[in-house]
Amino acid sequence: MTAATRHQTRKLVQKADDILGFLSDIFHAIAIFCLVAMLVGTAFTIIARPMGVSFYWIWPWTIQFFVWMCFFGFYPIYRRRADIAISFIIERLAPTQRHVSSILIEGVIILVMVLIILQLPIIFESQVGPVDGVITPWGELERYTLSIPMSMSCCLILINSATEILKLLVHGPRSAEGT
Amino acid sequence: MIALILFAGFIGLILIGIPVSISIGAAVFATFLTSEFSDATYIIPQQLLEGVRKPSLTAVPFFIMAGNLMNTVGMTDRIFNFANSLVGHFKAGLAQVNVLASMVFAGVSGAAVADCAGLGMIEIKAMRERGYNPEFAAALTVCSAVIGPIIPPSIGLVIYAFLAQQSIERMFLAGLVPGLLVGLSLMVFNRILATRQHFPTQEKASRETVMKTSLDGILALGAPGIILGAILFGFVTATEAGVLACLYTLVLGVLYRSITLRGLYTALSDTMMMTTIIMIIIGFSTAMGWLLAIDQVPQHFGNFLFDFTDDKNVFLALMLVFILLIGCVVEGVPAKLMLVPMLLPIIDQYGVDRVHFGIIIQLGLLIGIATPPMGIGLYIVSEVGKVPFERLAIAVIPFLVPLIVVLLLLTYIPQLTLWLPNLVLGPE
Repeated sequence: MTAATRHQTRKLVQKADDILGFLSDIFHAIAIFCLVAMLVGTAFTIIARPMGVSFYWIWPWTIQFFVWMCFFGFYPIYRRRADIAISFIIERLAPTQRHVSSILIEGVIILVMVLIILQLPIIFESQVGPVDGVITPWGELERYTLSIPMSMSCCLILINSATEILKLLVHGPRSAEGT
Repeated sequence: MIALILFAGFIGLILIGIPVSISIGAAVFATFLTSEFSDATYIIPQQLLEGVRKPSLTAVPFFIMAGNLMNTVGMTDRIFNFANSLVGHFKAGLAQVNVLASMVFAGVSGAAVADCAGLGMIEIKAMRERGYNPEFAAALTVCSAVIGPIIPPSIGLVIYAFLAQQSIERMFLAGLVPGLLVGLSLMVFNRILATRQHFPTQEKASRETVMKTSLDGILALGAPGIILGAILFGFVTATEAGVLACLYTLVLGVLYRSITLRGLYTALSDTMMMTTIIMIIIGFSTAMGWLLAIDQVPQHFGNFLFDFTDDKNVFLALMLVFILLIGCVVEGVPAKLMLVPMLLPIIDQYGVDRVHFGIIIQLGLLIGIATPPMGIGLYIVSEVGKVPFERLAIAVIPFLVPLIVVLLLLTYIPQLTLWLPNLVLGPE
C-alpha cells in the first residue's frame, strides 16, 4: 500500500467512523427519550389513579418504549465500549498480541451480528398482527415494529466492528493500545 | 454435550476479552450450529426479542435511576455526613461510616455499581484524607457495596423473582434482614480489626451537627419506606414503586437546589446504558435457557447431584461452592440467568424454599463483585479510588470472611430470610 493510498484509506475510515459516531449519538438520544417516556407515562398513571383517571394504553406503550430503549441503546453500548468485558488478560499481552486479539474480538462481534441479521427475514415474517394496546391515531402498531430497532442496531454494530477492524489494520499494532 | 459447548464457549470467550453479551450470543450460536438445532438459529434473535420484552422487568431501569439520581442530587454526600455524625467517633470510625452509609444508600439504589461509583468515591476520598490506608478504604468500599443489591430495592432480586416466579414484594422483604446482617457483620469485622490495628479517630459530633445531618439522612431513609410501603400496601406495582423513588429523589434535588439539567441527563444516560447492558444479556441468556431446557440439562444435573447425595445440607454446601466459583468468573446477572432456570427443579427436589434460595444465590454471586477476575466492583473502585487492581484484589481478601460467614448463616438458618416475608405476607 502506497503512502497516498494509505492516507486516502485513513481519511475514508475516519469519515465512516464520524458518521457511525453521529448515528450512535442519535440512537443514544432516542433511547433516552424512550426512558423518559416510560418514566412520564408511569408517573402519570400513579398521579392520576387517585383522581380516577386512567388510560389503558399507557402500560402497553411503556413496554413498547422499554423494548425500543433496549434495542436503540444496543448500538451505543458497543460503540462506547460500555458492555461488561474482562480486560486483565488482554492488558498483559504485548502490543502485537493485543492488536490481534482486538481484531479477533471485533471479528466475533461481526460473526454474531451476521448470524442474527441472516435470521431477520424469518423474524419479521413471524411478527404479524398488532401489539395489543399500543394505539396511535392510525391504529395499533404492528408487532414487527418491536424488531426494527434491533435490526438497525445489529446492522450498525456490524458496520462499526468492520470499521474498527479497518482502523486497526490501517493504524497498526499501536492502535490496540487504546482499545 | 450441549451444556459443555455452551459453558466452555462462554467462559473461553469472556476470558479473551469479548463482551459478556456477545460471548453468550456466540456460545449459543456455536451450540445451535453444532447440534441438531442447526436449522433453527432463528430462535436466537426471537428469544433475544422475547427476553427483552418482559413486563416484570420494566422496574429495572427505575431502580437503577433512583441510585443514579441520588448520586446526581448530592444525596450521597448527605448520607455520608449523616452516617459520619452517628458512628464517625467509634473505633475505626470512618470504616463504620462507610458501611452504615452503604446500608442507607441501599434503601434507594438497586445496584452495587451505583454504590461503588457514587458513594464509593466520597467514602474513599474521606478515608484517605483522614489517614486510612487507600487499599483498606477501597477494599471495604467494594465489600460494603454488596449490601446494596440485597436490601430492597434490588435489581438482582427483581430478576430472580421473574426467573423463579416469585412475587417481587416477597423477595424484597426476604432481602431486608440478610442485607442488615451483611452490614452488621462488616461493622463487627471493622471493630475486631480496630483492636489489632491503629485507625485514625475523630471527635464525637455535636448535638447540633447530629440534628442537622439526621434531617438530611432521614429524608434519604424516606425512599426505602416509600418503596416498600407502597408495594406492600398494594398502592403501586414494583415498576411504579421504582418511578416513585425516582420522583421522590427528584423532589429532594429540587428542595436542595442541587439538581442540574446536565446532572439529570447524565443520570438518564447512565441508567439507559446500564439497563440496556442488563437487558441484552437477559435477551441472549433467554436463548441459552431455551437450549438448556430442550437438552434437559437441569434434569441431568439434578440426577447427578441426587446420585452424589440426598442430604439437603450437603447439597446446599455444594451449591455454595458452585455459586461462589461461578460468581468469580461470571457477572451476577448472566450467572443468575444461566443458573436459576437450571437449578430451580433441583432445589425443589431437595425441598429448599425458592425465596430462601434466591437470597443465597443473590449474596453468593454478589461476593463475586469483590473477587477477581470478573469482580466488577474491584474494577470500578480501583478506578474511582485510584488504587491498583492487583493490590485491591489482595486487600479485599480479609473482608470476604464476614461475607462468607453471613452467607453460611443465611444458608443454614432459613428463618433469617423467611421470617419477615412470612410475617408480613403470610407463609406461601
